[in-house]
Amino acid sequence: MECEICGSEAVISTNNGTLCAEHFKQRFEEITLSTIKRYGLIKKGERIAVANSGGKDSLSLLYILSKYFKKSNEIVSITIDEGIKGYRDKTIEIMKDYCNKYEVEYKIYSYKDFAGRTMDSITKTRTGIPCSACGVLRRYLINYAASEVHADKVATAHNMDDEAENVIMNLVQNDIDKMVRLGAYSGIIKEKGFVPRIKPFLFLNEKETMLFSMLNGINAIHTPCPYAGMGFRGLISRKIKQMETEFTGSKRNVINAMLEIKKGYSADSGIKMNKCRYCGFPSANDICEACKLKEELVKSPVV
Amino acid sequence: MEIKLNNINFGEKTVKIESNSVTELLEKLSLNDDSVILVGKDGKIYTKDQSIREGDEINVVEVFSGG
Ligand code: SF4
Ligand SMILES: [Zn+2]
Ligand SMILES: [Zn+2]
Repeated sequence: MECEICGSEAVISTNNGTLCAEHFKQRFEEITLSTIKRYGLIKKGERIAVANSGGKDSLSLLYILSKYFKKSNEIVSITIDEGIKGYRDKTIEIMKDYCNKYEVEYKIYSYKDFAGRTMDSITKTRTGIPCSACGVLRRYLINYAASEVHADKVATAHNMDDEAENVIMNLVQNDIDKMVRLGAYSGIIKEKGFVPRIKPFLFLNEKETMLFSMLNGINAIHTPCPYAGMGFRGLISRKIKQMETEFTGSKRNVINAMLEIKKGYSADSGIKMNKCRYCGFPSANDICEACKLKEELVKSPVV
Repeated sequence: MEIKLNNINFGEKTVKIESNSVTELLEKLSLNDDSVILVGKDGKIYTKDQSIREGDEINVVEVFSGG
């Protein structure tokens, strides 16, 4: 395959183009910037927290946001330490090196500090897919961390694969209310204590984010979390990649369909917000999911 | 044709393919093009239509979620 711009040997061919290394890097940045522009994700002067695990995607996001927004905005890196030995400890070291090298302010928040347990410990006593508990704690702590560092918005490196997975999962669970909260800007619920989440990589494939980090020499480990790939999400993730290989553009179409459905929903779509009785952060219920889980974890034996 | 592969999960192995095509290699490994990046020893990245040469050594980097 030849690069559609210069004719030299291509390194990738996706719905975003068939491109050589140089033109791919350029296109990747252009798509990120156009997503930011189209959805008004970053306004001049805003303080942006980048949810940075030290992995390939979030370091690539930090790289681009620093490159284009460091002069007009404050960028701060927040890391959630799930407590996964041999995985997160490694990426946190990489994150620290990166932030120190490029002089990015960073803060780390851990499950251990919040819930008294690491993810490794939680998996020993809690049945079910580790990602379910992990997702609840991570979502909560990202919002908590972003509000603690006084961020106006929190940028996550969710890509097209992640979003298409979310859309399909919500459809299968018939949870349209949850689905319409997806998209490049998840600030549909205007509530004090909720820091809007932005996804500048929404229209980029996972393969592209990985290749981008590799081609830019971003030092990231290319191994997944040891608990990844399990359960329903793991199945959907594999199927989506198979579908995309056979029908290029499938993921993009899934996201476009979600965005169309979302248009028909008003900003507050029946979601009524309370304050969590324990932590005071916005919650649909009297006690938020994270505090509920924390309560459960405190009761179970620590391993 | 025999190709030497390296992968974080299966380690090193040699596979035989009839043609010289990346597509055949991916089929043999039960991998999708969207879920893998094939990197040659010299840093060359193989797209699915490219041909593999005898003696090529390829690092099979699986695309994963998270990070
Ligand atoms: S793969 Fe699952 S357990 Fe691992 S960090 Fe992600 S959500 Fe947590
Ligand atoms: Zn080119
Ligand atoms: Zn709470």
